[in-house]
Amino acid sequence: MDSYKRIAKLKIQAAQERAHAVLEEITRVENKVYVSPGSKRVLDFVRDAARRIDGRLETEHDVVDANLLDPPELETRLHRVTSLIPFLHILLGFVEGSDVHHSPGQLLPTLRRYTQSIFPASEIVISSKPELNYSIQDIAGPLRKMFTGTSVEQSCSLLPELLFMVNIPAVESGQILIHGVVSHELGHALYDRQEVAKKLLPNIKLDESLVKGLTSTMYTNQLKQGQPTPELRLRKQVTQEITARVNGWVKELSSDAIGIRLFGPALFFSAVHLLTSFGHLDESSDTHPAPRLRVKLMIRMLKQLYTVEKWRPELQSYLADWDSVSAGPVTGTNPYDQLALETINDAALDLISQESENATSAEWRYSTDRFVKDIDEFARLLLGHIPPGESGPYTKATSVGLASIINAGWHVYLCDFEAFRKTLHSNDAKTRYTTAAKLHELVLKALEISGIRTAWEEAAIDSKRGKN
Amino acid sequence: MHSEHRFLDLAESFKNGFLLDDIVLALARAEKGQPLADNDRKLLEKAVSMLEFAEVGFRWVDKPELTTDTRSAATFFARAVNALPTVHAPDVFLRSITDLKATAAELSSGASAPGPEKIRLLRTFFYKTAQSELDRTEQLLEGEGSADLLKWIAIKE
Repeated sequence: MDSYKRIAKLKIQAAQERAHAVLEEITRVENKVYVSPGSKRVLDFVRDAARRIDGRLETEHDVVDANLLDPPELETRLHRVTSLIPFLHILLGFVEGSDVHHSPGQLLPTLRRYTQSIFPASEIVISSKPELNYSIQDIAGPLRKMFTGTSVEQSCSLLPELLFMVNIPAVESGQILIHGVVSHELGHALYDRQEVAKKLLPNIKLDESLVKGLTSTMYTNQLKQGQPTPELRLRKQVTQEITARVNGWVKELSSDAIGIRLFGPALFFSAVHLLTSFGHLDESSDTHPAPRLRVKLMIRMLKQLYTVEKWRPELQSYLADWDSVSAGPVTGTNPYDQLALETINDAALDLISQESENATSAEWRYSTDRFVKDIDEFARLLLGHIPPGESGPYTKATSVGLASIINAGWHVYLCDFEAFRKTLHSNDAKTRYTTAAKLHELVLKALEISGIRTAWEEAAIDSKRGKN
Repeated sequence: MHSEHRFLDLAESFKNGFLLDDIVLALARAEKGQPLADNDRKLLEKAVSMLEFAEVGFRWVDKPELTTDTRSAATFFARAVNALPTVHAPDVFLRSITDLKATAAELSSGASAPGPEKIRLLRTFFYKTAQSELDRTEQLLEGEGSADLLKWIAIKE
């Protein structure tokens, strides 16, 4: 037992040394210039948490000395605490690539303001790394939940209420139109904040006979093969697989639906653009439904909320192709996927769409009228090489919203790409890629101007308040 | 970069693990006959809730309905099955959970003291659950969790 105790203490000591190494690393990276104040807040959190974890490790000496736990219990307990060190490394990894040399700085102010218009106490960090991974996630909520009731709880006071970490592949950081998927991620945050699951889940009906039928069919099939899973374990497996899918899929679909409410067609265009490049139409998992089902929901909503029949023929035809593809059955599914697909039927999709309206306030929602206006006004400006960052008469111009700029950009990309190409210098019009790069540059410039204009408007208001 | 689901799962796994380790420590105190502090009793109340969730999860297939608690019930049910590797029959499983719950409830209320062998059974159950949660934490830290690798649609890391 004594040797176990000595090894346990050695484990604590080694972990404390590694916690100090984290502190030293922060001293090194905190001198970088970051685009968003959010990066510094992550570093402040990690520094404080590392110190508290060091303290927590110190108190584990008392647990060792108390001789209460059996050696395996002690090992498990200590190993969990020491595993917090690699966890801190993951947090440091979030900040990497968010400094001025890597992060697409033009995007941040507009995206940050947009996010704060929905979640006032939020912050956003944009990182650009050499990996093919688009992701946007709030890390403050999970961290708060994780450390509540522990000695690290107080470190969470250094975090904003929501801290969105955005990762964009370095090689595609300029492809601004794809970033319309940000609205799906805001959908996740709203899904939690507005407790959408509480209202939605009880109204999604699972067919009892299907669940029972699946369990008994699996048992019979396994019996025939001479290797039946014990009933208890089969029950566990069926329960886990089905509940994970239905809950996870409803959450993802609801986030899509909320995203469509916030960004309108731009989310659909961004989503299917990513999908055509990297996704398999029918690939689902226990957390994510097949893209085909997601496309089906988004098109269903666009047809309900937008006058798609008045869209440009190119756009109508694009939508019709996806509509036709999404109407087909999801193929290659396992029995659990199949059951989830039968549960999340058209009626469930309509419920999801309805709840997405309840989860968003009218002022946040994009609309068919705005889309028509944005296309009419801003898509035309893009074709004339004018970044649509502000609109209105010369002295009374106001900034153009994020959703409007991205929708206008997509419209040019999908309907007027060749017309845009013809307006470019021959070098820029040489290939499809050079043309797209010019369009993305214009959209990015529009976002930058919009950000500057808003900053100007805010400063004017502050100055007015000061005078009063 | 960890995808949202993996980061969320990882944070949840740590949280569950801390709780399970503290329950094991409280049970170790109880087994040694040490008086339980209020905090220990609260932990054992949580142990009772977890076992109740396991029962709800067991019965879910018989009446499959969806609520915000459905996932937790399914998860605790799965954990309980894993922590009782020698139990295969549904009725034995339910009886075991009922007995464990009664022990935890006795300890948390302080009304009566269960025998050391009953406390040991409960402690072993929660230790095994803690160990299996640690395995999950490790998998997630190493990027091998069952959580989906893809953030939005299908961009593999």
